Amino acid sequence: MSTFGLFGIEIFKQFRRLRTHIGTFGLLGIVLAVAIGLKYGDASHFVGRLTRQPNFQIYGSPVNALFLARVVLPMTVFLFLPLFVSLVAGDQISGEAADGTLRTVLTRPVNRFALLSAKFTLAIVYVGALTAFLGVAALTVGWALFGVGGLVSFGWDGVSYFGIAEGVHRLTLSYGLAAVYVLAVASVAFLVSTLSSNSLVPIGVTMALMVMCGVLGQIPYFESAKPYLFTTYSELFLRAFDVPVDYPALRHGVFALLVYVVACFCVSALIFTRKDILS
Amino acid sequence: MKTVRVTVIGLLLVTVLAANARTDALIEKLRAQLARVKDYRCDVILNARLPSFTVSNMRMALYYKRPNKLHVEAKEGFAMLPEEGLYLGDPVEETLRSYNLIRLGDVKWQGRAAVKYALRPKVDSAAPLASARIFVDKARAVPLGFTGASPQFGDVTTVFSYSLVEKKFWLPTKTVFTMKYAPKHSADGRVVESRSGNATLTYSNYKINTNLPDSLFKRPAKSGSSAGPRAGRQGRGRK
Amino acid sequence: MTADLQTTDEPCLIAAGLSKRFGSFTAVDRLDLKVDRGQTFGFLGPNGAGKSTTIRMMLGLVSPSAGVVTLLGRDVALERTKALKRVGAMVEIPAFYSYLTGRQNVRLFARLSGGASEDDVTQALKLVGILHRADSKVRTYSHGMKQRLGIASALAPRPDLVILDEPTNGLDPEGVREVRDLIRDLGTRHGMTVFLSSHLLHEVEQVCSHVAVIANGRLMVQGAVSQLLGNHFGPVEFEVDRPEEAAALIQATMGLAPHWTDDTRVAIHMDRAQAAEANTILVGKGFKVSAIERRKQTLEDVYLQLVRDQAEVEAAELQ
Repeated sequence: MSTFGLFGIEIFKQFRRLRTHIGTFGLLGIVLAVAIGLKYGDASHFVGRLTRQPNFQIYGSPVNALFLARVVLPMTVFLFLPLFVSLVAGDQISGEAADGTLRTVLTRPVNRFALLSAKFTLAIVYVGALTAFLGVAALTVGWALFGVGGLVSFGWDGVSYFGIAEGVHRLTLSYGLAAVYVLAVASVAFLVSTLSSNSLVPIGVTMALMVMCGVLGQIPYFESAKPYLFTTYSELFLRAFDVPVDYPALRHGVFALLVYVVACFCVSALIFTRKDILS
Repeated sequence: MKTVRVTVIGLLLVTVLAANARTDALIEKLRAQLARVKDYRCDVILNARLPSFTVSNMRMALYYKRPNKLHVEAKEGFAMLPEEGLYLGDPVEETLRSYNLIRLGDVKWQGRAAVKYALRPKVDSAAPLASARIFVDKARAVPLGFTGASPQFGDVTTVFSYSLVEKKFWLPTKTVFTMKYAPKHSADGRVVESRSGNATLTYSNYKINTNLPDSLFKRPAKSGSSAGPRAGRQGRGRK
Repeated sequence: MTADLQTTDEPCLIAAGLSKRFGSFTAVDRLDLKVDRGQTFGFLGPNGAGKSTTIRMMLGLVSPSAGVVTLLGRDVALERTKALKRVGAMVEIPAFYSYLTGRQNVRLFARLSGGASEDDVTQALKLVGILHRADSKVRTYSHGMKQRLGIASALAPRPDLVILDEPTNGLDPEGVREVRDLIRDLGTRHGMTVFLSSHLLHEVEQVCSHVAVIANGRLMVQGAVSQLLGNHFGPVEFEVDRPEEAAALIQATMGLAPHWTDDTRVAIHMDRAQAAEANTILVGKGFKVSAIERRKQTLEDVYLQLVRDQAEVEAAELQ
């Protein structure tokens, strides 16, 4: 059976699993919580940051659909998105090994590499779909509660404003970059899942790796290792709001993350195609 | 350098006394021409790259009514404008309220024949814009731009481009504001801070003398800094 | 599909020198098996004998440390997917996607085998007797139902060779009987070759035409069940009035030592001709022979004998 056919089966299975939808509900919850906070709480924190600009007059409100999509991204990229995708990506092999269904599948005339490719494709699609869902949910909820407007983006070095068209473009770029980072995390979880027969292990190991690499990246002694840690690129999505966009830096970051993705897949394939299925 | 500056200031003081005594024909022509515009509305697009604030395609509707009523509508939900340096509304009235003009002579500026004036603050509280100059187009009798230096903005330049609206009013189609600081360098020569920036306002769809109601310029009282532009303007000079 | 198949006289399943070592532990040791088309082949051995590891190697789940497995003419190590094309298998406790229905599971696994018609799926579910629950989530199935579903999913793509690992495990007595009947039918009525592992002697004896016995990873014996039992004739028992004297007489005249004697009987190992001769001698000397009986040896006797022999060999090896 082809990878494509297997992918169809994987999609069919994955969609019927509760686990698949935890991320969806989790992200929707976060979006709603932030939206309600902005709607009924005090948004003056943001306006206050705006007025820190010397002698600026403010007209209208920065809080709108695009703004919501912008603020929920950093709230989710560092923990929730990686967690939710690890839940699915880290379960691909280990979960079926734990259930014993993996051995049933592999007693069929199914090429192991094709199966792994189908599952990895599923992980990629899931990362894309979940990230896109976050964006679409934030835009929809934001549109319903606040309407649409230009995008105000608070960065570490100041405030940026983008008109609606430009704002949507920047957000798309940013969500794309976030998805690539999350995909790298998912790939790590996927790799660990080929080594374990317990679907909790990949999630735990991935989260631990994220924290560890994050900490390593903070220690000056390990400065030289920094370009090789995937967590170094966790903030890549914020650079979509740079003016002007530093495309070479983005390309470099995306390349580094994709190297992670490809490497994780190759190692997964090496492990999985040779593995004795004993569970 | 210092002696030069002292000398220049000394000379200026002399001319200030002289200039205040008489009116300038070009300035009067300019004021008369601008006075024909009782009010206007136009669409404005702001693009800016300022230290810690960048703007791309911020769309606004700008309403102006003589002498100094200004109202801004955010067309995409949100807008913010610096209170200084952009000279919205009537740049000349704005300037003359706080400064005296001293004619310095004919120059060529931005490719047009212009008269150069120095600006002298009327009162101490006015924003100190040292060596401020205004350039007025001789043929069209419109301000071509400003140059100056301030501790807040560094070396600043504002350049207006015009078109003849409704075949009789010279109104700006574009305002370019630039500020330039000497970049600060660290010990090893790296640029550690560069506060230079620019802002461009593009104007279109002018509607002139439509008798805009005063109520349009009353902004609902809001707490804090989101009060109306007039209130902000009165606060000019505060930090 | 038939183009993939080799000539029908070629064995369905061959294992040659099959070994698997996990570190220093040898789970399967130089195993040779041959299953011909149409056989219902029992793979018999106690728990932990290496049956499951052998089946995993046959299906390509575990790679052998040495040796080759050929299924329907294809080397599993080299052409796993082709080799498994016409094979239906169930390994250990069958596992399913609990969030899908029984029917969805059977259909899904059939698709992995190249597909089965909806009719085949229904037929397979009906055959194992769970059609009435086919559209419930597997989550709600009992252990026995999952076992039946496992067999159904192995059968749905209509394979030529069915490999079943302990198929009656966890079934109630009624279920055991049904599944055994079903397996017998697979060979006789559906023309399938069946390879099944079991630790139950009577099961293999009831169901299988051929058997291989494995203990501690090694092949003990292999052959037709009838032949295997024939090779292991039990002693002939004479019911006589004076067993001790009868035994002494036979030993003196025929040179055959008694296997055992009790109050009414003497048991001696001998073939049919010898049995007739011994009878004539006993009657001629005035013994009252009331019954002559050859005890039929069960597979269990053979099996226990083989395991005992193996233990002795190993004890000897240790010394």
